[in-house]
Parts: sequence; C-alpha cells; structure tokens
Amino acid sequence: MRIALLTLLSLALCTSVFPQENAEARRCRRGQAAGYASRDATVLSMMGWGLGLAVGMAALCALIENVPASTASTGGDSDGNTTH
Amino acid sequence: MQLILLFLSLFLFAEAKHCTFIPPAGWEIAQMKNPSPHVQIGFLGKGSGEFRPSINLAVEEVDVSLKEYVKAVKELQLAEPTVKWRDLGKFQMKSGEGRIAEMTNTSPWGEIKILQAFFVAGDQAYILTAAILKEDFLKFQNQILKSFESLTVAENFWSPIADPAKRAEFEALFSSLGVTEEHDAEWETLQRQVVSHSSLGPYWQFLVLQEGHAKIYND
Repeated sequence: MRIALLTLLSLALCTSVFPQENAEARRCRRGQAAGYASRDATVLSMMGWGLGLAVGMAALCALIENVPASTASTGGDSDGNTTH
Repeated sequence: MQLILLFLSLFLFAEAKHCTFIPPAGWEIAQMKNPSPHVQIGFLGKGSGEFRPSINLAVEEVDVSLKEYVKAVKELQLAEPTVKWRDLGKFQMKSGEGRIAEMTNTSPWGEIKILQAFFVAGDQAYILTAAILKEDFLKFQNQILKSFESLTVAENFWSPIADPAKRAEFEALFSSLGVTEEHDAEWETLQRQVVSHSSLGPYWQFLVLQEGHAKIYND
C-alpha cells in the first residue's frame, strides 16, 4: 500500500512539473511560424526565383530530380515556359 | 492491443487535415532555397521592379485561441525595432473567421508591406503571408486578399470539390490508388483528374499529386 502511494505521489509530482516545462516551451515557440513566414516572404520577394507551375509542381513532387537553372525565372507562363 | 492500435490510427487519421489556398492567377511557384521549418509553399508574382510580390503558407502547432496567437505574433514582430505592426481585425476565410494584420518594414528596394492572415483550427495555426513593395500595394491588394480568403482547411482532398458527383468520382479514384499493379495508368488518370480541378488552385493540385504519387508508387 505504501509503495503504491509513493508511486502515485512521485507520478503526480512528475506530471505537475513536466507540463509546466512543456507549456513554457510552447509559449516561447508560439507565433514563431508567423515570424518565419514574414522573413521568408521578404526573402522570396527579394530573390525572385520562381518556376512555372508545371515545372514547379514536378520539382516539388520530386518527379524531376534537378531543375536546371535556366527554368528558374523572373517571368513565365503557367505551363512552365519561361519568358527569358 | 489491436483495439488500442485501431483507436490510435483512427485518432491520428481524424487529426489529419489538408490546408490549401489559391494564389493569385499567373503567379509562379517559388523556388525556396532554405525554407523555414513552418513554411509549406510560396508563390511569386510580377512586381514593378526587382522586388516581386510573394505569398506563402506556414503552419504551426498551437494550444491557444486565434486571439492569443495573434497577440503572441504581435509581441514577436514588434521585437524588431524597424517593424510597424497593425491588427486590421477580423477576416472571413473559406474555412471560417480569421484575423488579418499588416506590417511595414524597410528594404533596399524601399518600404515594404507585409500582410498576414491567421486562422486557427484545432491544434494548428495557418498563416498566409504576403510581401509587397509599398508602391505596388494598391495594384496587388485585391488579388492578395482574395487569395487569403480562399484558405481552406479540410479533412480530405475531395471535400473542397463543390459538385457532389465530381467529388464522389474523385474520392473513389483517390481511395483506389495503389491498389492495382497498373501504377503508370493510375498516375495518368490521377493527373487527368487533377487538371480537371484547376479551379481549386495549384497548391491543391500539387498536394494531391504528391500524396497520390506516394500512394501509387509507395514512395
């Protein structure tokens, strides 16, 4: 009985300590994605490397292994044709 | 034990959600060299200069309400001394009510505006972010807001399909992928179906192709 009580007590202590740590960590993390997203949006806009939709999708789906540098464009139509 | 596993898999399946949005027409898929861990995809438009308008989707696991999340974002963004942040209020998206905020910052190309739309569903926050040169803002504002409005969080790929018959057809096809040995034929059929649903946007199409390919070829 004593062992069972001690086990329960230690378990209760553990569960009361760890959630606080996790909650603290989550609080620090919260909103991080929005920060990353605004940074990425600025970088994307500045770098301006885009791919036509068809080529882009194929590249993202890893259906084509390497997208040649010439397909990266600052302009192009939705079929993946660049306008250089 | 089997019951526990069944319950666990059902629970995990129920939690799986697909978030999509429709970028402005004619925008390209951004080539992201080192995307941040939360950022899923980005699109680029044509600006008046070298700074191109962009839009991206980020997802974050949260345990707070939309209001608390936006408050946390505000604190985080205002930590940057050059950033001006403004809550623009409630924003109606396809999946429900979100919130929208505006930021201004400086860049070598001049002042830039960043619009961010937030939506929280379950334990996930979905963030659409657009960056535009201030002088291009009026030109792109409507397209960007329309794109933000299109944010859809769905349990599966077929629920955003409006036509019930087409939805059922797509569900049957998608559920059957990977069952036969005719992998290439299945892949072609899926591609044809995806092309026929172009109104759902390129990001939806990409997600379907990606997951469909994995199902067919056991990626």
